[in-house]
Amino acid sequence: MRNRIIQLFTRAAVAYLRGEPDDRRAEVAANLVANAISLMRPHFQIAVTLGLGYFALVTALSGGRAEARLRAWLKARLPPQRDLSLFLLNLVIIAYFDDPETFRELDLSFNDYSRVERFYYT
Amino acid sequence: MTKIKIKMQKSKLRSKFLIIGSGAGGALSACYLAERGDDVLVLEEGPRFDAADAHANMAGTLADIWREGGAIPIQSNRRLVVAEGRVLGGSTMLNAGLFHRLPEDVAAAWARDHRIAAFSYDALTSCQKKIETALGVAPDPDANHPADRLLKDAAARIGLTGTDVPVAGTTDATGRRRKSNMRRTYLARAEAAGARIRTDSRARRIQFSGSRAASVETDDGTVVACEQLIVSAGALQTPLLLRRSGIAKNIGNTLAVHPTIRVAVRTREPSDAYRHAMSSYQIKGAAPGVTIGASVTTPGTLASVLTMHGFRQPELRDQMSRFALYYVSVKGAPRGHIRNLPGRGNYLVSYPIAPDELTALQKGYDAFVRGLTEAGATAVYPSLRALISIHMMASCPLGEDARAATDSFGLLRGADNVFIHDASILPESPGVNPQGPLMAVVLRCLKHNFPVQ
Repeated sequence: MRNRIIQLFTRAAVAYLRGEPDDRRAEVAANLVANAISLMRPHFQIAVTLGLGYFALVTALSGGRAEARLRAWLKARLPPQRDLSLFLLNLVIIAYFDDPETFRELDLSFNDYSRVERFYYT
Repeated sequence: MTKIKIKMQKSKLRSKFLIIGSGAGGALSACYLAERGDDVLVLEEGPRFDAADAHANMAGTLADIWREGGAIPIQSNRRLVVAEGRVLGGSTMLNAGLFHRLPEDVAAAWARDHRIAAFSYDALTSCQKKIETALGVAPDPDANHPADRLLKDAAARIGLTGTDVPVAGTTDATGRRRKSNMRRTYLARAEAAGARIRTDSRARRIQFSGSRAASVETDDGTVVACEQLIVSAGALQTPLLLRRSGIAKNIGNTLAVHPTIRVAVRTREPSDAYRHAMSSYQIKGAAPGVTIGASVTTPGTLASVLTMHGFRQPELRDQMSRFALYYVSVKGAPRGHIRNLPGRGNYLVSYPIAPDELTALQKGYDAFVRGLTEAGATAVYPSLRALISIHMMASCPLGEDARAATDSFGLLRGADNVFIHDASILPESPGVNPQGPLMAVVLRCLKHNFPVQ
């Protein structure tokens, strides 16, 4: 159940980032988001899961337009809505901009990016 | 129905020196003690992670080496998150490797204000030189970093000068430059000298017998008996462990961080900053306690800032190569608190950012933008998401004054055999990246408490 809700969010976030849906990249991002949530402190896990559930509920009640709901949450006055959506969108960005296909579309060198990252992580 | 009771046998280990945590302080301690011939066991909460090249990036390592997925929320008067490592090697596995010495005036002020005995700049520098040699600390070879060139020009235009900070890194036989994290340096030496390392092993509680730590119990029920205990779990986890173990006096009441704002800067001409590792040039003096530098400019980190300003992939497609990422950070005072909460693994960290810190941050940012604009930047976009800090320290300060959690050499007050060897014992923020200063202070403590070479 939680994975389906996470996928709803990541599909919306990927569509928000690129201007069109992309299920493959949304799936990759969903895995990363699920991993990140599983690493949080227990009370944050509960809070994020509840927040995502609320996102799914409100999306369903407003006709299923998750991307429009995400846009609204990113500008929400309520800090929990805004902070949760910003945090999760940031995780989606990390996954999205680690994809060779994204680099090709942006006309950037994935090899150069990988060389720099290897300096830090190997 | 007969109930069958199965009692799990707790496994028991023993070591002369038990070190909890394998970051900069723990790895250094393990190496020196193991090379002295002592029996050393290191407990590390995170995994032993060797990134394959294909996964050597933030997305690939997020679940394995970053605590809580890379962003630990802090209760504050501003949105603030911190990041730290949870892996063999600690935060040295994910930082940039910039390596500062403790400034002489800061060392003198700490010795005076916190009444730290025998805290001489010369002794610290001697320790620092040893560590720099071991880590291959040297000037950054990427002196032609495009983000640095713009920053140097901007600094000159606002009447400031900066410094090229050395980087802990070595070049291997193939010419490949690699950061000197603890996994590749001090921990490798410690293991070669016979130290045992146990990963995926979180210390739950220290068990005391009178004023002596007798053993440490881990989450999986293992009990490790020890003669000497060195706690090096970092500025957040060390006070949490001590508090879980019933030690609370002056523990976790004085956390300091470096609140930092990230800034994406666009130039007229493409600079392809993402092709370069983090630059090492830093400016100081724009405002009290403020440091300005260029950050790692990956497309992902840039996008995380620019997306909040309305940039999507279509806009980024034409402009990504013209952006570089910078940071403006301010030295925070030791006023944060760290507390355990009910429930396993739950805790709360608070750090109220003081008005003078926010004012300094704003003044530094304004000066930075003015210099950049005069130097030819065409647009500046600050991160709207949150202030961040990857530097945490001072949560169990050393010294002889009323605020100190340990004596002048890291021995926990009220205990006979518990030492703190990580950024917790820095009495305040050093005003620079803390890895170099903390390692020098830890080596000084080691030399005093145990006769290491």
